[in-house]
Amino acid sequence: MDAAADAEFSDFMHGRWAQLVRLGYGLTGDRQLAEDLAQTAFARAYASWGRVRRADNPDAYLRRIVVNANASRFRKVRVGEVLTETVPDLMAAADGATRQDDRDALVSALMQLPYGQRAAVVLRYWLDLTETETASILGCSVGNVKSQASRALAKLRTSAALLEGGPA
Amino acid sequence: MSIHDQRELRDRLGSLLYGVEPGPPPVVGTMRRGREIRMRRWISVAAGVAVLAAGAVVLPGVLRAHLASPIAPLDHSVIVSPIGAGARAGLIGQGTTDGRRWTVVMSPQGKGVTLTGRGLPGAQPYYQDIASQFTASPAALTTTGSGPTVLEFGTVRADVTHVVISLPAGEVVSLTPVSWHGRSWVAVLLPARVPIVRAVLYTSRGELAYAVPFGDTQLDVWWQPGQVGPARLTKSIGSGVVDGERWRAAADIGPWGYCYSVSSASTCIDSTVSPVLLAAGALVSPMICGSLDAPGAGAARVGFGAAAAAVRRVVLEYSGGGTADFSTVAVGRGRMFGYAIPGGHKVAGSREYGAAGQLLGSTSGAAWEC
Repeated sequence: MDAAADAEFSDFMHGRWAQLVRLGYGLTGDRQLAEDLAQTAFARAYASWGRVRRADNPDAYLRRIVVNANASRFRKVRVGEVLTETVPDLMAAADGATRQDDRDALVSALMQLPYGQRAAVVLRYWLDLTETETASILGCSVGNVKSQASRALAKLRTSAALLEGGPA
Repeated sequence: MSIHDQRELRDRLGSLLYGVEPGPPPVVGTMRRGREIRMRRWISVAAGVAVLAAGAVVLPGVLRAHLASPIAPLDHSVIVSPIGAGARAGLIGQGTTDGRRWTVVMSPQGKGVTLTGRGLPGAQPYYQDIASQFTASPAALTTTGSGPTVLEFGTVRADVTHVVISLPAGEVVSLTPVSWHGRSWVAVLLPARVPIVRAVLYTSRGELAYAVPFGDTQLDVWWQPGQVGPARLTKSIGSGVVDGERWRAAADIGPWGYCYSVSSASTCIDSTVSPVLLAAGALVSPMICGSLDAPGAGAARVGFGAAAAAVRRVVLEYSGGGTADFSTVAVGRGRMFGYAIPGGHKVAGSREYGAAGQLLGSTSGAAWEC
């Protein structure tokens, strides 16, 4: 790859890095893992840069890699994962303990959702993707996205973590 | 508080995720990983083309079916289980690899540790000299075992919170160090047929160092984030026949570091800069030697060494009589050479010659102790 393409990729990565890490964080609750997932996605994009830069929606390509790479990891470690009440790797509380508690509670609630539901929630309600776009990234039907998101919302409404962890 | 509507969920997700402030994007490291992925694709494609072409001759039906199939599922699995606070002393790793459960337990023994456990490859107990775990590197990992699985284990710096090992297809295995006898230990059992793509050490402040394996699993040199290893160079530094068995020595330099192999053995220099391997004032410095691991090789030994820039030829004089010539080869900032010692012999001394064939000096047999 020539210097111009490298520079183009660098700009591309700078512009999307934070969002992709945040997507990874929403899926994993682990910032280090989120950064590794994001880097994996960008590395794969770089490996196919000629195709990615010409794609209609390179962002969708990156998001699909992050979602699928984490799903693969999830299939392997979920047997050994132990859900704890506190999430070990949260960002620093910049705006007070109450708000931090609120975030902790939301991460805890998200991590208790099945992976498909969690991914649907983050893609639909944080990235504001349409149901069609979400279905394309998750590799499922629009109907499946609707049902996953609906079930996730129902679980979050009754989540003990949210009921106990958030402010009164 | 509970989430009653989508707008509230959007607000809370936004508050949560926009509160995450990632560090600067690791552009250089990402490009390097991208190049590695591309390189592996080329290798896979080349190998695949050869295999498919051969298969097409005899099994066209199978070939068509193969090409039409979607992405092949992973043929391996690595699950690392967390170790609870009440776990037995010395337990530094546990999990399931390819459906077989494993545990790794350390015990102190003399100047080292012994390693036992369940489902581990090779003979046990495995002994490790503890001194090798005290290096300036942020991690000192050892690969052991032959067969379907290999054990990767060792120590990491005390402030390392995670070791993330990337496998092909974007899989990641995350290891949490376990404190034992004042050191932080990690262990994982990996399928031998699955190469490590990269390993990254993290502290609470972010990425500390990364390593690219030499071969499939040998993680020796740890680079700082953004630091790029040397350009790839594979060069023969010697070959020949000793006691009827072929031997060869090569320098393998690349993102894994400065590595040298002699027949089936290899070693990497623990250095992130081009190492100076020649002892001060010496014409030659034999580095490493060992038994030639080949059927019928008997007690023959092979090794490699560094030579001064002026040395083009090294002549070994064997204790039982006879000599052998070994040419030096330019590698990086110095010159290297491989050599062999027939079974039943020692090196009584050596003579070093320059480009014009002139004698530059000699080295005593003591330097060639093997």
